[in-house]
Amino acid sequence: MAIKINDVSFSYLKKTPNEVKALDHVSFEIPKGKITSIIGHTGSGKSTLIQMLNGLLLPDSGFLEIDDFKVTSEKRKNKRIKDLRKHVSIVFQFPEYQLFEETVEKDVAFGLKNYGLKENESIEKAHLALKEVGLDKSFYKRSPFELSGGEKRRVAIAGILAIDPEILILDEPTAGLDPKGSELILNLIKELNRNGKTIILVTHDMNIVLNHSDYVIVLNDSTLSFKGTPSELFTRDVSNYSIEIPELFKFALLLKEHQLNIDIEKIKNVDDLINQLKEIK
Amino acid sequence: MNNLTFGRYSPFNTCVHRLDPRNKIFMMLLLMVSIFLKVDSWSTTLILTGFIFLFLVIVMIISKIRFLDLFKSLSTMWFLIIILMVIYVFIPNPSYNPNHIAFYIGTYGVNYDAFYQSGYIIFRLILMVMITMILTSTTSPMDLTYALEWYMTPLKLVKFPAHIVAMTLSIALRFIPTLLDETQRIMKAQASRGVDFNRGGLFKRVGAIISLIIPLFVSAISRSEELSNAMEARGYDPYAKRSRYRVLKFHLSDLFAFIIVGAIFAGFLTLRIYDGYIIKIDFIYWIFGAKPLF
Amino acid sequence: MKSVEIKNLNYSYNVNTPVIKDLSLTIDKGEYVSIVGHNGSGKSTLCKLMIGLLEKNSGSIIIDGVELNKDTLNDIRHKVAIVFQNPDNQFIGVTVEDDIAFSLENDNVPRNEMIPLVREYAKKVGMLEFLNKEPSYLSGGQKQRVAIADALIRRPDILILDEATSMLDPNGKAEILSLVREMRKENPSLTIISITHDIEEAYLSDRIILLNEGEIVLSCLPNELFKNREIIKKYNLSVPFIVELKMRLKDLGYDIDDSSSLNEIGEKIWQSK
Repeated sequence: MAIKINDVSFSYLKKTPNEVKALDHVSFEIPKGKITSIIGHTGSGKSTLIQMLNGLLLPDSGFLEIDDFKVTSEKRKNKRIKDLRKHVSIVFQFPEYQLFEETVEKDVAFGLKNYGLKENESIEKAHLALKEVGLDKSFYKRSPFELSGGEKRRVAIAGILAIDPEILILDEPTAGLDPKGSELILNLIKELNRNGKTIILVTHDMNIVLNHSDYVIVLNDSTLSFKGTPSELFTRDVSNYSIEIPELFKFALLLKEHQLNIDIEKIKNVDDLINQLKEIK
Repeated sequence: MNNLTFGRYSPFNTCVHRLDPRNKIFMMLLLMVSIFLKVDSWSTTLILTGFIFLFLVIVMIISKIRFLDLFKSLSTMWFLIIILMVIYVFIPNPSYNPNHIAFYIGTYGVNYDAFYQSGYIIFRLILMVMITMILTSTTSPMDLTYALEWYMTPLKLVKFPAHIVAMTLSIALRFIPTLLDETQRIMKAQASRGVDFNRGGLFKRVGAIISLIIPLFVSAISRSEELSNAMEARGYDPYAKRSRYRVLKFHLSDLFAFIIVGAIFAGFLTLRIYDGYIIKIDFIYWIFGAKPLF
Repeated sequence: MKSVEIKNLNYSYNVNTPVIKDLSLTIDKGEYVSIVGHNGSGKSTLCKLMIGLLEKNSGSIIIDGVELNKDTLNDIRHKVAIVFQNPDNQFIGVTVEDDIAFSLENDNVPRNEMIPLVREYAKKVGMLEFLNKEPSYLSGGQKQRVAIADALIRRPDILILDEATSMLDPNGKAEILSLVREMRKENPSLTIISITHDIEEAYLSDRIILLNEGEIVLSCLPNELFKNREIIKKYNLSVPFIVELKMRLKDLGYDIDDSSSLNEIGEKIWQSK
């Protein structure tokens, strides 16, 4: 079982003067059980791609295989879309804008009820999801609209987690949060992955790519331009991709070039670098 | 959202696009009135409206409007068309010629005239749609607002806040694309939480709509707050005197367009006035020298 | 010369939750100040108070020697211009040129004077070729550049950037930062107050003010703040990579105090091998 993207193409505003190509014959695989980052400039096709992974958009040509689901260009062949969306869920950018119920617990339970769970059962699961994102009992009965930005974001994420998807896609999960809020979310993502979830991150932040992902996909002008590990990506010439190599990585490379025994593959954060330097010393 | 194609501004740069919006609105009104000026003879009326139809088709071709879009917007009106047909066919009308019975349903005679009448109404409806479509596809919403404000200027005399209405309209127009994007985003987000906007019973549908409407309202309100802050910070005062960056210009081409449309209108008006009083207007009779069937 | 002088400023949305507490602050003309602090620390409220979008409870705000009150509001708003966070929600005009002209229209500037001004400021922010474009065809960075032109065309003494880059992608962010740099070069007397979470961005400024629960915790040079590990930890601030690296290497026993670039630091390491 895996996630396969097969020769997928897609355009917006088809057959109009403003037609925009979003994906142009893209093929690759996303490994299960890992954290994969999809990066690329704005308009590179990454949002289009993630929306296809749970059937919100259908490809113009080509197809996607997600475990035993298949997303193709023919509308009527995609009958199990609702099951697919339970299997692959997306946390969109600024998900706090999707909250609408009177209480936090009801909002988190909303998705579960849509998938046919009973009221009390769904509330129970909602509580578990809220615990996962670090919100305690005192939040259950509060209105989601009176929470802070970071708390709202966590409620929204809990709303998706409650559905318990196998594959979780997060689009810019830390955008607009302060450092403390970002850290909370990133730790949560790591924890989820450790518990077996496949995570797909869409991000512009190269530090997140380096620090948190196992695998990275680069989309550039609607085509695939790289797949591999973050360290493979950052050791390449990335000048065409509008990617800024993290300074940490640049520094590690610099040391390596000067014959220091640095294992580039293992550098994820400053601690890793310092530990390696300690051993050298 | 994809079926909102009717009347969407398509940013080409044709000579129709470049016309002064005030002129375009006025010409639209003239053409609409022309459509409703009919003469006594049915055949002649149909020839006259057919002439307007041809004229509009030519204008549509010049302004690069796709006929597919016209059919799409008409296809949303099929229900209205059927209702019209039924009303005209089944409701007896004393003005119908009793000799024009097409066929009987039971004892009720369906009159040919009913078909002519309803066909004519539908034809006019199509023409109206074409006219509005030409206006809105070739004129940016902003230009339309400016033109409307211009027409509202006399109302300032009675203390009607034309400029505030225009500003409100223009901001509403400016934010339509933004809010449409937002709507799609929220729909997708809720779809990820298992909401199905296309299927389900009434209860489920209402639930789905609520999950869309509330977030949309919340975001629209926060947007409006930020927008009013931005406007205030940049010195906007609705009651102060403001100058205008954008002005509308009446070009020579506007004059030509106006002459053409004005001539059509004047022609129709003349025929209408002459009809029946001085001479009976009947093209078919004039050309073929025969009294037509109806 | 003082550009901003705030004395004992107080503000609360309601009685129980003070947002700004007895805050005093001076900013010199031409200074580039960053205000940092977590969400809810009162940064944005402070900005809104400075341009009179909110009314203070007590205290005084003096801009360029003029005290902010109802009578001077219009005057102050010509001295202080602001760029907000969300690029979409401050784009008022239908096209770029309409948006840039909006301020001028409000000031009742005659049309023939407006046209060259709009072009001049569009050129300043590199948006001249987009004059007739609608916002939906622009990137976030381009929209914020237009917002900066909107602000500059008011010829302000003080420019407030209220998290102006926080919703942009890295390219957009870089565009705005380089624009700010150019602006300062061109007009050194322009005071810039930037509210930001981006620590690398704050690192570029002359002074950092750390705000917490409506009070100033610290106001110092960027380097001094980042040296203060206690504060960094307590307020959960992130630190520019180079600062953190130096700190950690120092703990390892490297003497890198006078190295200012990654290259120099690296040199120290491989030389000591």
